[in-house]
Amino acid sequence: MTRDNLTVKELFCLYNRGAVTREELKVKVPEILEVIDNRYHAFISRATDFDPGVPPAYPCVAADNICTESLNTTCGSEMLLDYRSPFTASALDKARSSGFFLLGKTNLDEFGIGDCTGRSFFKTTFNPLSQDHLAGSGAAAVVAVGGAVAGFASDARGGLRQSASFCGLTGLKPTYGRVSRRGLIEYASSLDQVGVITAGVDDATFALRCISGPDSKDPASQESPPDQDSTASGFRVAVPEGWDRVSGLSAGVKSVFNKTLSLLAELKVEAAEVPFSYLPLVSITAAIIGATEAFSNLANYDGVRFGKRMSGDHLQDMYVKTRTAFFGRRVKEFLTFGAFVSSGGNYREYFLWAQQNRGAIQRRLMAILKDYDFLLLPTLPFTAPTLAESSGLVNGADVYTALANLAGLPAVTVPAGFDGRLPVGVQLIGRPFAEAALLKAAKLLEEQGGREVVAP
Amino acid sequence: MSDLLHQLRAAAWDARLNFAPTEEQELLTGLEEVLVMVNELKKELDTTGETPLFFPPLPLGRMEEDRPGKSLPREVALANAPDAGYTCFHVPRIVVE
Amino acid sequence: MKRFEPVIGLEVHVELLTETKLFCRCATAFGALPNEQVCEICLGLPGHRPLLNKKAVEYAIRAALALNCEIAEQIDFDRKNYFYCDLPKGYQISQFFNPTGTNGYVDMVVNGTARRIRIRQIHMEEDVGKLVHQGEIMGSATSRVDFNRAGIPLVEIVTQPDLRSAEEARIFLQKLRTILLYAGVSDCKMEEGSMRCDANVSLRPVGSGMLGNKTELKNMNSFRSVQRGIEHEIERQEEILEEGGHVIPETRHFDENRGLTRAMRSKFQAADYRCFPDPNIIPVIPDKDWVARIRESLPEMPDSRTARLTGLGLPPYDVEIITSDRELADFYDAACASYREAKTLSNWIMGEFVRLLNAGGMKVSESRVTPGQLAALLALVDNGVISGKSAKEVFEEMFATGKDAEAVITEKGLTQISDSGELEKIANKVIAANPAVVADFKNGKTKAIGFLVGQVMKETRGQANPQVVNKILAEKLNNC
Repeated sequence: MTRDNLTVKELFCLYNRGAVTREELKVKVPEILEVIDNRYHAFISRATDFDPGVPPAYPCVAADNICTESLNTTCGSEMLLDYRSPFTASALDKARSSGFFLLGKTNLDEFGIGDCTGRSFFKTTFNPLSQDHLAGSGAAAVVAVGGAVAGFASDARGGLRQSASFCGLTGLKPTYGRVSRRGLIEYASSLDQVGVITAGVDDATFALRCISGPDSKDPASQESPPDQDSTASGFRVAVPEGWDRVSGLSAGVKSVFNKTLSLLAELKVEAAEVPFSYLPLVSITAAIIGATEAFSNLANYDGVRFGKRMSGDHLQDMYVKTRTAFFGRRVKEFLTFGAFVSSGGNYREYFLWAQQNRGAIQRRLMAILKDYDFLLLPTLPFTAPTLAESSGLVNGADVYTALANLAGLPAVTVPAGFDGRLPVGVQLIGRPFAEAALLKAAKLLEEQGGREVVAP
Repeated sequence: MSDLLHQLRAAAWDARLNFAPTEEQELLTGLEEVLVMVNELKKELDTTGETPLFFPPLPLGRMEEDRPGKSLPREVALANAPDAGYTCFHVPRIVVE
Repeated sequence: MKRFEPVIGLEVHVELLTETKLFCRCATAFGALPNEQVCEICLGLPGHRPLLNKKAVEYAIRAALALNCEIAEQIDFDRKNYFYCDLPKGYQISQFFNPTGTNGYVDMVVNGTARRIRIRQIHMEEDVGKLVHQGEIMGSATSRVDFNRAGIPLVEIVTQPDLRSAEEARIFLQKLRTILLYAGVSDCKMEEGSMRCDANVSLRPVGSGMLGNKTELKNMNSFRSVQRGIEHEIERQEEILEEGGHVIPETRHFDENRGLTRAMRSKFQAADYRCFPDPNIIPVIPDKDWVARIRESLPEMPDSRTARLTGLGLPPYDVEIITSDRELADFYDAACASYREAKTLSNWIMGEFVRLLNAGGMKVSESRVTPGQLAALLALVDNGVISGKSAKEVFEEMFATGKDAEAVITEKGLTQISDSGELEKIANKVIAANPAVVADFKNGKTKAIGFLVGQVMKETRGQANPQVVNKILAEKLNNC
């Protein structure tokens, strides 16, 4: 291997060992990122100074809905075209103090709202494993080609895990409250969490450790309790019944998941189907809650203190013109859906119903997790979509992932096989704040399943 | 105008958004599908007696002491505004709607 | 005989006296230049997280306890969603579902009748920014927005519709102000906007249990204006109902100058706020010990003081004046601890003390005279060391300098002459000089003695003890 073919990740690795000079790094890294961006359309902005400072330094990217003082934060929206946040997200501050070096801000569905297609106002990110298909997010594409050790991104209904799965990567959504959300421009506060996309479980474990813990500026962030690792003498896995009756579940995904179940049986891990009637409620429940919170969270885009403005005859006219002009269509539909389901006349019928569903789901999951260490599910019912495949208000991509968001539980996806050229992930959901055990189990799946996870 | 379209327009207004007629029609169709699905689900799975959960359960929230901290310098506070003077944000005239 | 009776409920917003805002640590201090006290949180910038102010919660609980409310088991917050340019986030954080306090009451006396006004709830919320216009709001081409005020903690106090007249509403509001001042949670200045009052007014046939259509009355900026505004609205509704019409439920604006109310902003009344629990604010449980400590730290409240001072024999008027101001009441109590003549003390405090404070535009706490010094002065009067008249002069000096009564008396040479030997000499002189008055006295005009007392006082330049002079003169006149 010549130095010309090294990835960014490898260059940094050599730099940390003293085998590559700072000057060499400063020249080569931006060149490689340029190539990645041209090929996959992964970045919205890139760092201008590539001096990584004193080693060790770990290259990372952050989705462009995580605030940075050094680079613009657009959320992939024209609304925030030139927006520069006056503060940096606490998770990125923590990452930086642990040695992470931010290479750039990556593409995402506008405001993270979508079906994880990686389509923003600016660009559409293509999947490095198959350029006919979407990557789901710029962060996943960059990590998939060795452009960074970690991609920090948000996961509201499963977007982070979905794009990791599309690109054959590890995607971790921590417990709600494990990582500070200050500086995350989330659309659904009760669902969203900062997580990490990495090439493997070890990197995810390291990156999580770097961003975890209480933040005085986010009262929801918690001191992580000592990890209750109950899995020393093996673990028990629950598979919610009905997983295979989800609409849109592809034969390929089903087959990979069944293979994972066989693998667990070989490993003498107990995996049992458990009664769970709520799977059909997951997508619609997360959509109603997410849309209502988005309607409220995105009400600050009013053309007054920041963001774009379209002039209007008067104040309320300016609001309508500004928001209509600078939000993308998908976002506008979602916000209107949120306003619809939470209106005075519909509040009980839809919004409250969704919160009751969430209560039922959370309590049932906690009951299952009393007897089992993890839930095991496919990450998505299907593999990475093509550009042509579009979707409606609720498309079911999040039927498995949003479970963890609704209940605030930690979840991780690891690649488990292929459907044709496209990777298929499986997902483990764990007990609150039990990420150590979760990642240990994920590591086992990665090691055992990894034998088959080589692109055909 | 159907009651649903009426509600949809009210919702769009409350979100301060406007849809072109074709966009509106597509959204209406999408919404109708979702509502049919919800009604089906409600028949299959009854959650009416369930206690709602508005956010994941967490240990208690924290409060801060009442000690003044740093505010943003005014030029920073105004820096991202589409229209601002030296001291204030500017907004278009306010009229009775 | 009126056919209709008014049914009035008030919604009172009160700014809490915290140093920082409800969800950020921007200062609340008055007088900053526009947009100098703002940050990512109170401007609602993308990615901000609210940080709940403990003191604001404490003050809200304090106010709730002072209004005899039950305290919520959990403090949580909701979002009230609407678009307006003074509202940075597009929603106001408030307590919609679970107010800090509920089911309280305020007792008051209206024209000699005891009234209990029920408090439905007291809840916290954020204040909004301020609009600055050139000229009228509706005529101005642009408005400027200052967000310094956005996020300042308020409590909103909502009464049950228990008030039956504009006067009752005004008296209630004044009583509420007194209670909140006692509790020390707000400065309650209506003119400066730290206390704001909206009134829900409706009429119903006398004796009916039904509620008529109500209007919400806004823009009343003083106690007087609350009473006048409600009076005008009652009259307006009366006229409509007398003519067989019906009242449109709407928000109306009181125009102080023209003395009338008019309908305003119709669209906003129909606003659908979609209130839901704010997912970014984790609820807080106020632990029992904390609430108990807040309760213990409350001063004795006006009603309890009123009962106690009335028990001392003070007339209702005195009690009302003294208890209307917590500092004044504290001053009274402190003086009373060493001076037992309750009424004499209240005369002095309501008279001289308040007069001098008002003349100097001072608050009780700014007085240089201590309650103990006043008590000592009054004891000197009772012991005949100085006359009541001189005492006023002495008190003025004490008020100006903060010196003790004795020091002032010595400086001014005001010690009263109680020495009967010296006074007898002067009395003899006065009797000799006024034979006609003496004759009147002898003929049964006993009041004539007053003139002679006056003459003795004049001779002594007011330093004689009038009681001693009276006694000496009476003895001499009866014996000669």
